[in-house]
Amino acid sequence: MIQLAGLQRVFRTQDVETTALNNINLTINQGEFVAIMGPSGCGKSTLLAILGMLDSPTNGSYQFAAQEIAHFSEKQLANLRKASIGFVFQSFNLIDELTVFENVELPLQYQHISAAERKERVHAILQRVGIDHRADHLPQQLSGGQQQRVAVARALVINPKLILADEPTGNLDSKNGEEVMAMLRELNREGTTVIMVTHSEKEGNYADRLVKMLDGQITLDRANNLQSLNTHNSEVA
Amino acid sequence: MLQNYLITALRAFSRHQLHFALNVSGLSIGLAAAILIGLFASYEASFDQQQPNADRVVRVEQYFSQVNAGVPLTNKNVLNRLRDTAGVEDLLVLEPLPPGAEFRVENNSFRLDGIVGASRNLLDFIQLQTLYGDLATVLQTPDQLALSASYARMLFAEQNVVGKTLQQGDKRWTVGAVFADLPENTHFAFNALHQVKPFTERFTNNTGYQYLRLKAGTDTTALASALQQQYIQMVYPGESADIIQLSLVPLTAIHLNGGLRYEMKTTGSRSSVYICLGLSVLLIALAGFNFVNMSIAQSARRAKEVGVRKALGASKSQIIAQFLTESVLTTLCAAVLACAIVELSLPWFSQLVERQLSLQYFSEFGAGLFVIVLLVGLAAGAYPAFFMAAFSAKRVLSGDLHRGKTAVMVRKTLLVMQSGLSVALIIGAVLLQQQLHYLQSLPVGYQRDAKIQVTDIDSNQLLFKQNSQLLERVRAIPGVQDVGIVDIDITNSFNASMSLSSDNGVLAGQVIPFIGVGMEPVRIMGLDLVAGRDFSQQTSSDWYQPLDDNNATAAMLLSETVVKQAGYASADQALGKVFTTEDGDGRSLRLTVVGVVKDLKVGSARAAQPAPVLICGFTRNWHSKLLLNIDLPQLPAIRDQLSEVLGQSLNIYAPNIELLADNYAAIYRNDAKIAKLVSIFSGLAILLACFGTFGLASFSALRRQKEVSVRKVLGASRLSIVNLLAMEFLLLVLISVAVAFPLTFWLVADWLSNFNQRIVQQPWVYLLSALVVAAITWLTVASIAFKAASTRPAQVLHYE
Repeated sequence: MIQLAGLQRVFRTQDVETTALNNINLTINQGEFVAIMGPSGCGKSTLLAILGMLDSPTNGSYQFAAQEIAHFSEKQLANLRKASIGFVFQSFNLIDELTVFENVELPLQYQHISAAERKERVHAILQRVGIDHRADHLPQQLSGGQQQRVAVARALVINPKLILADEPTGNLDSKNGEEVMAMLRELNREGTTVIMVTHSEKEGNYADRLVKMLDGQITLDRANNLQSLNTHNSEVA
Repeated sequence: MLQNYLITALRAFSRHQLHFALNVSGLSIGLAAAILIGLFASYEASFDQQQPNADRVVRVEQYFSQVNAGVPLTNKNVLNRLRDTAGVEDLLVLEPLPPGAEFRVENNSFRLDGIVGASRNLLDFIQLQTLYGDLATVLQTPDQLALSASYARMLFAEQNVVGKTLQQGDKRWTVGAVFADLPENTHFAFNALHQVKPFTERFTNNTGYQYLRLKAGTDTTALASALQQQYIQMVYPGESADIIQLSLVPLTAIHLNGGLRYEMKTTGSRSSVYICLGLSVLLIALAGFNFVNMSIAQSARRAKEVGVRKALGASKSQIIAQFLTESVLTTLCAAVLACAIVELSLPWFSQLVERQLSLQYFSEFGAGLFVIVLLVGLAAGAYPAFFMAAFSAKRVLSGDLHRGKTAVMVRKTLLVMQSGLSVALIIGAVLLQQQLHYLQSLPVGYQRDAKIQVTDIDSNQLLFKQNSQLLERVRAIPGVQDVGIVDIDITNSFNASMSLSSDNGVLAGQVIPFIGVGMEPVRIMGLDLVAGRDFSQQTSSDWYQPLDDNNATAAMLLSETVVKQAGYASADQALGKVFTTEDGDGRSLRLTVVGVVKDLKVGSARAAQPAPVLICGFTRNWHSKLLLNIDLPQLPAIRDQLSEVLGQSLNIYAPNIELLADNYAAIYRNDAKIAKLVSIFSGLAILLACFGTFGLASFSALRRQKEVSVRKVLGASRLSIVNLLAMEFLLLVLISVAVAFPLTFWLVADWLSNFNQRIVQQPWVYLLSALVVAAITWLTVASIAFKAASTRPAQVLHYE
């Protein structure tokens, strides 16, 4: 579904040129659960932004569903993104001014879906993540775990081909964190492709495949056999 | 989607109440001021628009080149002869009835003004509603009057008074019609109408107002010069072609173009309308700047929302639409508040501009207001909206938000403009007040305190022949110290001039304005005598005397400038010299100089005026004035006694009494009004600039919070931190001052050049206004910075 070839992303500030991603080659197939790991500043967030079409590569090719999109304009990217990608962020990024229901409804509004259908789909998805009794609350009135569930619901409501999760449990305690991870796992079993950025080994273990990065390059890319064992002695690079 | 925008906006408002309150109150102040001004301006522009064919009607005005004065009056007989000139469709004649004997209804006397003779086509020119009787008949029947409704009530205590009579001296008037009072927004002013006196062959008196309705498409400039040429041929045969200039002033422009003299009522001032319009645009701009500044200052708080919306698929134009919706909504809230402010301040403002204004929401004005509010909302919201829409979703969401340098530049530029405008407005307000004060304190060459004048007395009763008996009786009234005679209102303007020739031949037919006076003018008017003596009873030959059918004599006082004009080396040398002129009845008038006084400033100091001479016992005015020096506290008693004395001697039972000091202040009333408006608007502008500084300072404090905390950890005091933050703003004030000073200097100098006598612009005014703005800025910033400086460093650094 996703094919990156020779991908490069360079940031230029007045005099300094920083290469955040260098010669990234990565293929992700439909239905995979990939964890991207690495220390701070290794480029994993930049990679996620490019995968999520929030940013464009400086060089190289990005094929999404067999379509070359590296050269797409911001508007084309926005149109493709709103129909196919759901985001889950570390800091939830719910809009404070909107209720739970309205937050989840928002992506559907941007897709110009009728009010009746929106209502139906939002209720269905809220039920699925078990937060429908809080539909009229504002985000600040919810706990962190509940907020992240709303964020997941918002990512899911468009029936995305791909879910991008950026440190989804970073701001949660371990119990809530496990719940969210289980939810992503289950989604993946139902067929949604999930790409997750994390620096927690424990979370990496939920994924089928591990991609490790360092200084803008992929240093390791392998299937994760340990995930079913669910133990701590994972591999060390 | 719109609903989503509105919900987001409303909840954002309620979350950031201070921000919202600052935005709305700033905008509403700007809008309220603009609405008030808009009402005033549209009212001023509405004058006489309601009259039939208003766009084709003009008034004939003339300008006398030799005495440098214009009047809106012309001679009706000449215009009647010229009514067939190509381009002229119809002529309306309005001729005010000269003040004469008082009107009596049963046993009450009334002094009525605004009684106007009108030609029978009046209703083709003026929209007037007849309540009772038939106006057309009145205008064709001698000795009939049409009264305004309010006059009918005043005279007869009822409105339908058709058929009732009024006695004026020997004349009996019959009321033939009653018409509704004229609206306020017309330059026409009359309380009663009658048939205009028939046309004659006398061409020299300018006794009335002449209006022409032109054929469509007529070239007014060409018509004016054609009329002027014929007018001069008839009235001044053989004189130069520019002895007078005729102009055709459009009916709808009379109100704003009118001068001070001989208008039916006080006219408006175009410059005050323009100044008001300029100031209100400034205020809206200032409020808009604030809006932009504060929206951008708040942008960091909304950045996450923008990022999320973009990640969820919002396009740039959708983000722009959202923030524009928000700013229009803010502006609408501000507009509602502004309307409330307007309703509250309208009575006060109406009084200030001397108009009865009201705000009609369901009118063209209301619709225009709505459109302007939308435009302001869009204009003020445009930059912040584009700014927000340009946020990179990726960087916002990865917590890497760098505020753009351009935004900081834009906001600092706006702040510089705001403080620059504040500085300029303060300077303008102070200098305006100084100039006004200066004008009012100028030496005018006469005294005006504790003096009253009784106007509209037939000149034949006071001048030509001495009326000592009347003056004795007036002088005997307790509280009256002195009484004299003058033929003009010295606070207003000259009324007559004569062509003088001096015996040394330097002056030959020179046109010089003159004031006709009674005995002892120097003492009674408080003139400064430089040489010679006052006119006096002891030398009764001072008074005007016709010697025979061809010769007459009188004594004369010169002003110092005339002494110079006539080529005398000193005032003393001019004494005893003889000037010659005509007295208007075919006699040669010999004028002997008995004294010289300092120059008199008649009327406003705004315009340069020729210096006059004073002539004893002679006038060319129909009406003259008694001038009294009185003990001011006794004025009410004096008023009663005057009515009695004048009633018995002259049949004037309700004399028109004016305070000279009041008349003098009235000259500068329009200027005082402008000065007051400028002061008020500068105050508002400074207030708005404070809002802007406040918004920017709170943003800056937030941005530098970490720096502040680190400095505090290292031992910085509160004051040093406040100053650190304020320095950034004081620098901006400094830049604004550098821009504002030269511009203001130039603008004020330009305005001052309208005045003949003017102040010098003092550097301290400039320094003071810069200091005031700097001090206000420091205080505003300090109020924010103090809070920032008081935050516990641990709290801030903890979050980094």
